[in-house]
Formats: sequence, C-alpha cells, structure tokens
Amino acid sequence: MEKKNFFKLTGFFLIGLLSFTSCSDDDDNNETPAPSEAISGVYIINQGSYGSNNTSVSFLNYDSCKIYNNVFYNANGRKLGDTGQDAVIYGNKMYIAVYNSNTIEVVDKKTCKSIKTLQTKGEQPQNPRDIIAHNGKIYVSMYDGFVAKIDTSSLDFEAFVKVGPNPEEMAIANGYLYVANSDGMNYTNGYANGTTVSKVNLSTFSEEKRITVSLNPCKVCADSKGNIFVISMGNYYDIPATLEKINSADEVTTLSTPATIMAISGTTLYTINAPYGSSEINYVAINTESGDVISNPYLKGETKPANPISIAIDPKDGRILIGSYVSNADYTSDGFVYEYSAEGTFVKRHDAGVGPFGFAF
Amino acid sequence: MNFKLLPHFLFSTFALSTSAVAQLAQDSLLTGDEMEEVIITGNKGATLTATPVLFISTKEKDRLGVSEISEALKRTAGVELKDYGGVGGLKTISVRSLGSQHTAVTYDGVALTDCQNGQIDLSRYSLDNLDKMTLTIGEGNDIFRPARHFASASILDLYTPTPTYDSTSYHLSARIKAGSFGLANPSFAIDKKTSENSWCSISGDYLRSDGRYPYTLTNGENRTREKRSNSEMESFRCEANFNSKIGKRSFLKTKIFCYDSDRKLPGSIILYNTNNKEQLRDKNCFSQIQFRTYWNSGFSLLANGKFNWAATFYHDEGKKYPDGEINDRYFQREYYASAALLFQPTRPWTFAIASDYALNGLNSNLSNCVYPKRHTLLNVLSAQYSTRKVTATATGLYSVYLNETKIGETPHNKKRLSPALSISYKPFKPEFRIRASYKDIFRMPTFNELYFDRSAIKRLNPERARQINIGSTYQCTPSRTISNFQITLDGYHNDVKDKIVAIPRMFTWSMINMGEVDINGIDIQASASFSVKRGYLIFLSGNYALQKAIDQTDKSTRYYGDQIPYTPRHAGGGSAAFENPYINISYQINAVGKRYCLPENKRDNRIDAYIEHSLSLYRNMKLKNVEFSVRGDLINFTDCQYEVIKYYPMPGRSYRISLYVKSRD
Repeated sequence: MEKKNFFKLTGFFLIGLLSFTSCSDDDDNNETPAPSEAISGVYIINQGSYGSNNTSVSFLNYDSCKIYNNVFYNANGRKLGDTGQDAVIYGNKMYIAVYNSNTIEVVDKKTCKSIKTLQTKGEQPQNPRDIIAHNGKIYVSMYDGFVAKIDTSSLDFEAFVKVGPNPEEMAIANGYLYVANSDGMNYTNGYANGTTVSKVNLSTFSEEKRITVSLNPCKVCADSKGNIFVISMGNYYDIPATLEKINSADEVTTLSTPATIMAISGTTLYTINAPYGSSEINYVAINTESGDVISNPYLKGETKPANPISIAIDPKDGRILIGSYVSNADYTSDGFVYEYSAEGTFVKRHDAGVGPFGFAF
Repeated sequence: MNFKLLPHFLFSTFALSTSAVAQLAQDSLLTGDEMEEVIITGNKGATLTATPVLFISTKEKDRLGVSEISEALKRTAGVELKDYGGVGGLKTISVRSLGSQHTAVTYDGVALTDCQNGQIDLSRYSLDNLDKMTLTIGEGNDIFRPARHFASASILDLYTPTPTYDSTSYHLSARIKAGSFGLANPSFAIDKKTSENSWCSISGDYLRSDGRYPYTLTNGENRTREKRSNSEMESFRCEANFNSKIGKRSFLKTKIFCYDSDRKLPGSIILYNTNNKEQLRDKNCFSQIQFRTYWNSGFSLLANGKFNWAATFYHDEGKKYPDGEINDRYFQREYYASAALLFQPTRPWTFAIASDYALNGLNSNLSNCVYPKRHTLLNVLSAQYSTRKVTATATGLYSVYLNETKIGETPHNKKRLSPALSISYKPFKPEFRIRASYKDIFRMPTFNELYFDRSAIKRLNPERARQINIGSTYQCTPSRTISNFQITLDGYHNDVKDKIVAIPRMFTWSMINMGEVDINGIDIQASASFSVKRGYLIFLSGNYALQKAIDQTDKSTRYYGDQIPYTPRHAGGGSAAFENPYINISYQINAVGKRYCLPENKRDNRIDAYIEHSLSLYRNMKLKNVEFSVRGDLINFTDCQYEVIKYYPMPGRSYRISLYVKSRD
C-alpha cells in the first residue's frame, strides 16, 4: 500500500502542478420563458436547503412535456427566499408560502411576476407553511399556532384564528377548515401536545372543536364526500406514522395501510409509505369510502422515485406527480418530479429544484 | 421535509458548523507519520520535524499582523478557517479538509475538549495572552505527551508565556485594544516570583463588541447595503497560574481558567426576515495540573490532571415554541488524568508510553436528555530513532470508548488500534530534509450527534481519517543580507470514511455515517528575512495551498466527484514586514478561491473568491522602566465584501488600535 500510495502521490504532484490554472466546472442554464395563459401545466415549489435561501419555483409545461426551473427568479430578478412550502392558485394569482422568510408572495399566475409580498409584522403570527384557497379567501397555517385569513381583493391579512401548537397542512370540507396540529417544535417532549386536528368554522372563522388523532398529525386531505384523512408522523422513533380517517360526524378510524405521504383525487386516496430507514417504499391506492385497497402499487412499471417527499394529483386529468430527492444520499441537490398518467404509467422524470414539495394547479 | 427542528437542536450557528449540516464533507486525515513542518515564520524547529508544523511566536505575531489565533491560522497553507464573521462569530479550523472535529487544541500541554460539539471555538482564547502556538499536522516528533495528543489528525498547541526574572521580581502589563464596530478589549497581566523556585501569575481580559458592521447583500439583481443586527457580545476571561520547581528535577504547573461570554447570535441571513432573537451564553472553568520529573536512569515522567466544567445556555423566543421561548441549558464535565513515561536507553533510541483516562458527562434541562457519559481510555506506545540524518517515529494508539446513558439505549462501545509512522531524512550536508508520514485515526461521534436523533444511537460509527504526507524542507542562510531562508513543500493524500452527516428527513433530522472524501493537496510555504542595514529588516513570507477534496460518497448523488463544501481549490497568502527604528510596517494579503456552500458544485451554490489586504503599523519602545507597544491595524482596507460561510457576511474595512505597557526587568 505504501508503494501504491507513493505512485499515486508522485502522479498527483505532477498533475497538481500542471493544473494550477483550474477550469470552471460550473454548469448553469435553464433560461425560462414564463408560462403563458395558453399553456397548461403545474407550478412546483422547491423547498431548497434550510438556511440557503434557495427555495425556487418550477413550471412543468404539460403541452411540451418540459420543465422550467427558477421561474420566480427569472420573472422578478430576485430570490424567493428560504424554505418555501406550498402554493395555491386562485383567480389570476398564485400565493406562495415561504416558511423561513416569513413571506407570502402573491404573483401573477401567468407570468410569475410578484404583485405583492405579504408579511406579518411585529406580534402577528409568523412562518407560513400550508396554503389553501376557498370562496375568495386564502388560508395559511402559521407555524407559531395560527391560521391566517387573507382577502383576495385587498390582498391583506384579514383575521387570525388560534390553533396549534404548530399547525401543518389544512383541508376544507363541509364548510370547515381542518388543520393538523403538529407539535414539531416540541421534539424534546416527544411531540406530546400534537394530538389533534382543529375544526375551524369558515363562516365565523373560529375554532369549533378539536378532534383527537394519533401523535403528531402533519398531513390532511379531504375527499369529494367530505371525509378527512390525516397522517400523524409519530415520533420518528418507536411510534410509527399512522393514517386515520375522520368522517363527517367527526368519528376517527385508523386505516390498516400506513402512510407518510398522500394525496386525494375524488374518492381515491394515493398513499406513499416511505418511513425513514426502510428500503421499501409502498404505493397503495385506497377507496376513501370503503377503505378498500384499489391498487398496490398504483405506479406501474419499474421507474419509481428514489426518495419521494411529496405527491399531487392533477384535478383536471388525474395525472400523478411525485416530488423526490435525487437519491437516498442526496438531499441538497436539485431533485426530480416524476410524472405518471392517471393509470400510473410512467411518463417522464423532470429535473426540478432542491426538494420539490408543493404543487399548485 | 421541514427544517424547523434544526435551529432548535443544533442551537445556532455554533452547532451548525459542528454538525456538518452546512458543510457536509469535511473530514479526513492528515498524515501522522512523519511530520514535516511548515514554518511560516522562520522558526528553525519547523523544518526539522517529520510532519508539517506551523510555529508562531510573539515576535512573528507582529510581523504577520495578526492579533487573533484565527488570523494567524488562516495564513497557513492547508488550514481552512471557518469564520462566521465578526468578533462574536464562531471560529474553528479545519486542517486539510478533515473538519474541525479532527483537530485537537491544547492549552499549556493539556487538551481542551467539548464532548457536546467536539470542536473548540478559537475566539475564546486570546493571542495576546500566548507566547507561542504550533500546529502539527499528523503525528509530531514530540512523543513525550499525553495519549490524547495522539488521538486526533492534527493538533494545535497553545502556550502561555513563562516569565524570566533578572533584576525584578514581578511584571505588570496592561493592554487596551479598540476598534471598529464597538470593539473594546482591555486586558492585564501580573506575574510575580514567589520564591527562588516558583512564580505565579494572574491575567484577565474583557471584551465587548456590538458587531453591527455593514455589508452588501446581493439578491439577484438587487444589491442593498445592510447592517448585521442582533450581534452584541461580551466576554470575560481570567486565568491564574502557579508554577514551581521541586528539587532539581521536577516541575509542577497548575492553572485555573475561567471564561464567561454572553452573545446574541446574528444567525445566517434569511432573505426578507431579519427577526432573529437567538442568544447564547457560554461559561467554562477548568483547572489543570502538570507534574514533570526525570531520573538519571534515562526515565522521565509527565503526569497531567484536569477538571473541566462548561455550561451553554441557548435562548430563542417566538410563539412557535411550546412556552413562547426556549431556554436550553447544557452542562458538561470532564475528569481527566494522564501519565506518560519516556525512556532513553541509548542515544538514537527513545521510547514512550502514555495512558490517559477521561470521563465526560453531559446533562441538560431538556426532557429528552439521556444523561450520557463516556469513559475514554487511551494507551500509546511510541518509539523514536533519531540521528543527525534520520528521525523515525512509530506510534500505536489503542483507544477504548465506553458509553453510558442513564435512560434508554446505550450506544456501542468502541475499541480501535491506530498506527502512525513518520520519518525525516537529511541526505546531504545543507539543511535539506525529506519527510514522509502516515497516520490512521478516527473521531468518535459527539454527544450532539449521538443523542439528538434517538435512532442514531445504535447506528453511528466513528468517523475515520487517514493521512499520508510526503514533503521536503530546506533552510539556509545564504548571505549576511539574507539571514534566513526557508521553504517547505508537502504533498498529501487524505481520505475520510464514515463521515458523520446530518440529513433531513420528512420533518426532522437524522445523523448517519454517509460521507466518503478523497483529499489530495499540496502545501507550500516560504519565508525569508533580509537585513538591509543595521536596524532595518525586511521579512517576507508566503504560502499556497492546492486542494482537491472530492466527494466519493455515492454515485447516485449529483455531487459525486465534486469538491466538498467550503474547500477552496486554491488558497494563498503572503506578508511583508519592514522593521526599522521609526515605525514598523507590515502588509498582508490573503486570497481564497471559489468554494461551494453545498455539496453540488453548481453556480447557485458558489461562494466567490476573494482577496483581503491588511496593513499594520507598530512600534515598540523602551523607556526607563517600561516597555511600550503601539499598534494600528487596517484590516481589509480595500473593503472587499466576502463570505467564508454562506450567508454569514464578513466585515468590510475595519481598524483596530492597541496600546501595550509592560514593566521592564
């Protein structure tokens, strides 16, 4: 080994001395035309790496089957901020929640040009996470324990309602907003206070009740029949993630299919179970009314995401989009969006930004 | 995936650097075999060792224009300084891309430790209070040391001065330093001869800074002038020594050291959000005792003992926390004992054996605290063969780490044998030497790494680092004008395996052994002094480092084969000093090539190259019974806007003046 290393080193010396003029190894391209009205597609919010201010917006153009990255940056000449989470399109605008920058960017949905940057001030709630639209209002879960209501005509905060401790995703059904109350900042106590889903009456904008679910609820979806599905993440140690259903009478039942990620189309619940440390990832589709398994796996063929973090179903055509990191070992590089048809047939793997997490149709 | 837990867990900038979140791949080893010394400042010792050594003494501090330990180190080839900016910003070093946890730091012969984060913040120790410092890469020539000194890839030794008494029996000194951004730093030192064979000393300093320096923020096409905020800091440090010669052959040294700092953390820049309220309080006290003796039979004994206590209070506020704020309090203790025996049977041979025991414990007010403890047993056997032509050293370190927890699962215990070899050879008459060294070492996961993520407890393995170094040194005094010329050239290969990295999971973080890094590099240092005429001296020094630190973790990643974060391919610097009877001038330049803040080498992740220029004027005067020194530094006088750590901007142009008074012998 000494000998081998000696040769290695000698060679290295020579190469090293020759390579003083180093070459540039940067690659950068992706000049992006802004999406136009005529084009159909989906916006993707890439989280970026925490503290790196590299959250970004991609646009997947269905017509050309091409993805355009850094759409926000190219339209506005500035960065979106740190740790974008989610976005929603309502009317002609898209609303993007940026957690760590504490901003809600309101952009034109056709050009992605910023119309207004909404920011809470002083003692107002902070750190927007999930964002949802309903009847002329935008609702944003604020990680310090509130849901904010934004009026889409004045583009300003209208009211806040206390939920929490650390609200994550939201869903709307039966005139109510269901909010997953995680306890993410209380990891030292094993997320002990994250045991409920808040039911907020949208007409009075007040919390009507709290529905007890499993430990640390983070994800919520509603089906077309008014059922709510909740994923509680557990404690990432000895309490696993759980999938539960809340029916319109607020009764909670546990489903036998475990899941860590989900999305609903009509009455079909698409789940992904990718618990950390497990090499197996399951893709199970469930009927939201009966709880029966419709297909397992719902993704056909061999091409599956290496490290999925998000899923969305296009409400118009049912196509399945799954955001993924590059691999199990790479959480900091530009990730992928896997596109499948409504039937689960693989269409294309698109290069997105770092951590494709939120989708806006 | 959400990152919300990270700030909480890793509390602040401090731990951020610790846990390699921002800089994923940074460790590997230097060679321990043979030390070559890289002498920055023209000290003879540096060219004689079999592994690279940096040596800086008091005199050289002035010429190099440095007034902090970190400033001295950043002018060394192969050393990357992690600087979070400003007086209150964490400063640690990474030697040849191995990561800060692979560099041990000693203070007057006993290691400084932090079982929680595994790295030492160099800004806690004042260069003004030091007599000299040496940085040894790989295994040094000095085998008569505690076993712990063999247990890391490189070692930085800090030494406080030993006074000499000619005509007086005491010295008094005081210094006041002041500078930009609210820097004020008064200090004092007193030492007194207490008997024919003993002396004692007390020194202390207070430092405050508001750190509100301006910087340029670039956000796409927008460039704005901003100011750092939430950056005030205050610290107090004091130290007492009592040293005594016992009989003719024994020495006893004792020390008590206390440090207390209170600082706000400006944090990394988060676009559109300047609402940072983090605070950090650090308290540290240690006492150490050293006993050294020798016998006629060729045996020498060195015994060390230490007790260390440290507390860290992290505070942040915001309604997202369970009670509107968090106040994490961590306390750590260390009990340490070491004995080393040196045996010199006949001239070229020296043997040494050293045994260390340390007990580290951590507790906190967090409800998930498992009260971890670690027993460390280190045994070293070394042999050295030394003639005028050859110095060869072989070392074997056997480490045993025993983990304990009061609650829950206990991590595996670890045992490992770590070899190191070095040789330096002088083939012909002039002072030209070639040297080669090899060292295979590892670091244990820190308590933060092991116990934050409960699932990591059974999984985490030590991070391994190997170093191979081959180099040459040359030293001469060619003429009366050129009084001392030195050059060292080293090439090295390091690799790191099982690097410990924090990876984000869906809603939390996890610690795993994932990284693998392959590091190849060249370090060159040269210095020369010229005597123009009596009383006029020119001193020049320069260094250059070429480094390829390539990620070899996993082919499925986009960054496979890329340069690891925060490692410039090219870095260099130089200094020129002109000393004369009037006012001495020193100029320094420091240039660092482009780096990347994340593993993938793409433009978005790039941190631009920079060149920093500084100028110092200084004068030492002796009046009757007093020595005076006056010094002024103009730092970064071209007002270069740069970052060492992404989104932690560094100060632009700043100044510092210092006045020093000392009673003469």
